[in-house]
Amino acid sequence: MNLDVLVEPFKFSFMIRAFIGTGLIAVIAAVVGTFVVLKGLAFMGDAIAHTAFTGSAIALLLGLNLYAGAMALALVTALGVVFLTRVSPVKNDTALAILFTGVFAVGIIVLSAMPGFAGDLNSLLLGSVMAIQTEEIYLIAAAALAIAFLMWVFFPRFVLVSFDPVGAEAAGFPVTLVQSILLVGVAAAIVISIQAVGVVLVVALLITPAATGSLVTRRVLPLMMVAACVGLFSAAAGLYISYYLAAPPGATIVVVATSVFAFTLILTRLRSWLRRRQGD
Amino acid sequence: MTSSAVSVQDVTGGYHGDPVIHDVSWEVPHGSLAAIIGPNGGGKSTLLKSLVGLVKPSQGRVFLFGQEPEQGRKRVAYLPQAEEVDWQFPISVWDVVLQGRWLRKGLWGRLTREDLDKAESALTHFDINHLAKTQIGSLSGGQRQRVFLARAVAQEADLILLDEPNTGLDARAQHELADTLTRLKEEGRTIIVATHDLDCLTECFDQVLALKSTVVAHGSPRDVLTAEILTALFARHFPSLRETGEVVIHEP
Repeated sequence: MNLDVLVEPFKFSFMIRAFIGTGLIAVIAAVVGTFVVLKGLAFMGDAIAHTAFTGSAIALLLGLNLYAGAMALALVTALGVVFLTRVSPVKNDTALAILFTGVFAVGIIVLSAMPGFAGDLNSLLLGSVMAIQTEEIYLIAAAALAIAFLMWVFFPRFVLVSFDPVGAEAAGFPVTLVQSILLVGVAAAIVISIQAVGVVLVVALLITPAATGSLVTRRVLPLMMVAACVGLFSAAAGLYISYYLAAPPGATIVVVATSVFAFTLILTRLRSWLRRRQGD
Repeated sequence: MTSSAVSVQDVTGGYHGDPVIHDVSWEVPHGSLAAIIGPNGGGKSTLLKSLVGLVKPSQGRVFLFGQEPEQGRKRVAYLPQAEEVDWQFPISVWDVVLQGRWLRKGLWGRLTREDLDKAESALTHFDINHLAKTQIGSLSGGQRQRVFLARAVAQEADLILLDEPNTGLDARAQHELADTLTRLKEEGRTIIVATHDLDCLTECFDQVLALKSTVVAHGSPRDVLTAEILTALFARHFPSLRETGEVVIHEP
């Protein structure tokens, strides 16, 4: 393999920033996404992404920081879900769907009220990897450190409230607080990830690597590590492919991650089938 | 205030404003093995959850070891119904048992060597050391119960609540579970089991609460398991166990 193929994208500083930023984002999303997969919260991840979109739109309208706007509404959604699950007589997914589609619709109205909104809308919906600035790299790195700290302190507690929240709460464990901390982490990961793949595909970055990990291991920590590796590989491979094929980078990253999942699924099925045959 | 392990005083409670249990009063002494029996929908699980604050009573009070549930429940282990647990969750037996120690650590505590030793000891207590690395979902129903009870022992729980623990267990596993619960009682723990399964009630339980939205009867198994009370509880048909061990279907 010609080494130039690997090196060439790094001649451009925007590509270096894209590799660093997207790599960090992919790892953050995969680590947090592990719990999203284990708890079956994919729909909620989607909801947070959509409300974060509205937060960005409002921030754009008011001339504020896009991340701050996105994070504010993502947090409201994440913590609102915790509240809804406790008080709402309506099913959780129904209440969530009502909440996030309503908020997302507000975001579309806000953006359509602004002249020249199409470009911003496009980058919010589909991501803008190549436009990552150095300051954003710092922000993403800070988010990565914060997530690493959360996992270092709370990992066994996240596992506990994910596996048996009822038993934990019955024993007086602060389940709601720990779930809220986890959801704040999920919200932060989603807001950061929107930069890479946009609102539409952000759930894929969160879910697909962790789902791939769940195919190959039955322990949480190894699953998280596999997910991080798959996320990192997908980000790097996706950027290379998009560079050489002039394809949209966010979508390409997601296609690579989906392909890795499909490939792993086929391999694991094949392995099970061979084992069954050997057992017969 | 009371010296009982559990004191339920005129409790009414349910979900989203709809009461499931009404005016329930019950005392469970320390170190006893008690059963809550009744038909499906009769409020057994609701009462269990009321004991630990998972369901807030709209009326009445609950005391655990003479304390409010918020304080007392730190001494409680609750084993949910099998269907409420995600058995595909990627977690090993060792990690489940270790959760008994994490439950005591609150938000910031870290595990020490002593915690690991206590978890190890709990595995030994139930003779499941050889299963330590096994994923929880790979176990049989009886083994899963033992793992959760080992977690309760690792947690050093004084009160263990089990919601329908016999569901999905074969007869042998049910008898093993009964033996295990008896052993835990003999160690000084208080055990409360919500069940619609009447097998073994007479031989291993000290107390029975017959619940059908409200208390139908409570007392020793001999006092509660009468044809009249069981008919009031289960309407026309219910299984019962004769002293000979024969299961009979009661026809009023």
